[in-house]
Amino acid sequence: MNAIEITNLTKNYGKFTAVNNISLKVKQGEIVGFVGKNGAGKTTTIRCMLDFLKPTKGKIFINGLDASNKSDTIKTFLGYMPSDTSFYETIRCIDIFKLSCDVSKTSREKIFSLCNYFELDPHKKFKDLSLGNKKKVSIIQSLLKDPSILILDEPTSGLDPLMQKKFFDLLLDLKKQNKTVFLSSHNLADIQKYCDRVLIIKDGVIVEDMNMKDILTSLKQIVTYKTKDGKEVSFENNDDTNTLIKKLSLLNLESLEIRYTSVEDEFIKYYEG
Amino acid sequence: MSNIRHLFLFQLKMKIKSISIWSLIMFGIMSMYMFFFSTMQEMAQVKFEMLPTEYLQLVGVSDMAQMSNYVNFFGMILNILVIIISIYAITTGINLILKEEKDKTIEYLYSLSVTRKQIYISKLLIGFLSIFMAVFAASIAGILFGYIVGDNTFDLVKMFSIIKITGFVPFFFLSLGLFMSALSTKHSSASLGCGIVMISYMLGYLGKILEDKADFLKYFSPFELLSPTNAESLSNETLIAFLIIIVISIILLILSSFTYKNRDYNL
Repeated sequence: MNAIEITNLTKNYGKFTAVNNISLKVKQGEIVGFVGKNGAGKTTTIRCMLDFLKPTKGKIFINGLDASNKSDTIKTFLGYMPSDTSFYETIRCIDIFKLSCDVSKTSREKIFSLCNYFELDPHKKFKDLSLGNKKKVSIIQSLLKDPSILILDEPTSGLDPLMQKKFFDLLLDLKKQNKTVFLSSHNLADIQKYCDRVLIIKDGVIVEDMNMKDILTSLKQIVTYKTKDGKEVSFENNDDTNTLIKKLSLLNLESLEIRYTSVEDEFIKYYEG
Repeated sequence: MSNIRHLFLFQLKMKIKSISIWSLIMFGIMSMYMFFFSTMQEMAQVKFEMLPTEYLQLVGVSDMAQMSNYVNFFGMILNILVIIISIYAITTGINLILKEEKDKTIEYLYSLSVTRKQIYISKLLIGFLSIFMAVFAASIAGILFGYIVGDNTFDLVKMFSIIKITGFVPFFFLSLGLFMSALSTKHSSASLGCGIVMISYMLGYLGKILEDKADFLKYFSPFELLSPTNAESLSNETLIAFLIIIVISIILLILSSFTYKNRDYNL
């Protein structure tokens, strides 16, 4: 059984089609990246999964349960972190977390272990927190019910690099526990590093569903050199390393750069269209 | 039930300040007027007699005798406060859901292991508590000062009747506000709510001053149908109107709940 399965999902806002007939599957234990430009349809897709929005057409199943009529059950095992870190300004973070624990019948002790991990003082009022700390509140809140599926909408924007690493380490731990993570992000380097698979959405349509291993093996070697007489050459190398060195040794080089194309380069192609 | 309780207590923490302030203001205004009841009695004979009847009717006074009776005087002031509380009620009703959607704070509630119905009921309870406290505070002030400055015209039974009947008007507007917020996809409905209350009040006033020519207008105004004067005399017509308004309020709440459960969130 797939953790998430979407079949022919369409969502219209009046005449505007935000998501157009998309289908996707996410297996249990996978970390899947969901990538696309602003307004591509990422958040709308996520909100349909959570039954915040009713699909115009199509079906969504979370752990085999129909999201449109079993959302109450689904919410008991699904953690969600929205892209906007909007909480009640005058409330202390601890009260936000307590409510999450109380309604999901989980122990409040988890609040303190997660706050320690993310270095957050839960006794502060939400309005007194920096943007990064507000993001931490959102992350912690989504993890408190110990979800088996986690849907994260741009989770790391605003977090410092150290905290981003801690966050992804935690996601890898969740993966080891066979938990599923569906992650929408603009941080392509993180997607490359931590996701098993990446889905690219453009203008409401999924244009690519790529396995990260396949991407990594298909990355190309780009060689750029400059000779002493000022000639600059850049080419895609298909030879093995020894052959390449032999070829280069015949040249009178001033500088040499050998790099691999990144997943980011692949993504950018789709971003740019 | 426990989830509703958790949600209710969580929201109460945020609203307790505004509920307290509103209640204190209502208590203060009512106390201030009631404290000067005897002075008002004397002044009314001199000053109010000079005013046109239509103007007096606008503030709920039909004849000067009302001013020398503690229960009537309380009804007149409560009538004015009920307009204010009704504006507060309809705005509260609209904002309970729409403002949270505008601020996107409701996304947090939606992500919790709670149903839409539980969110709706907890918000409804908060709304009811806010309005109840405001009406209760004004009523308590009226009763307290009745014991202190009320003369032989102070009648607790009649006051209870006014509080019960006229005090229900804001609850109707709260239901209407919730219904509007469940239907609406626009965020700025608070001014519309304020307008509806004022129009409703004015229709009742027009129905009263135009008498036979436009008597039907009063049926569009809970303020007139459940006015303190009607509440005190408690005719069959008032009783039926009271029951109908209760039924309409319940229908609005049920429809709101149904609509809210099945609509897209405005995020």
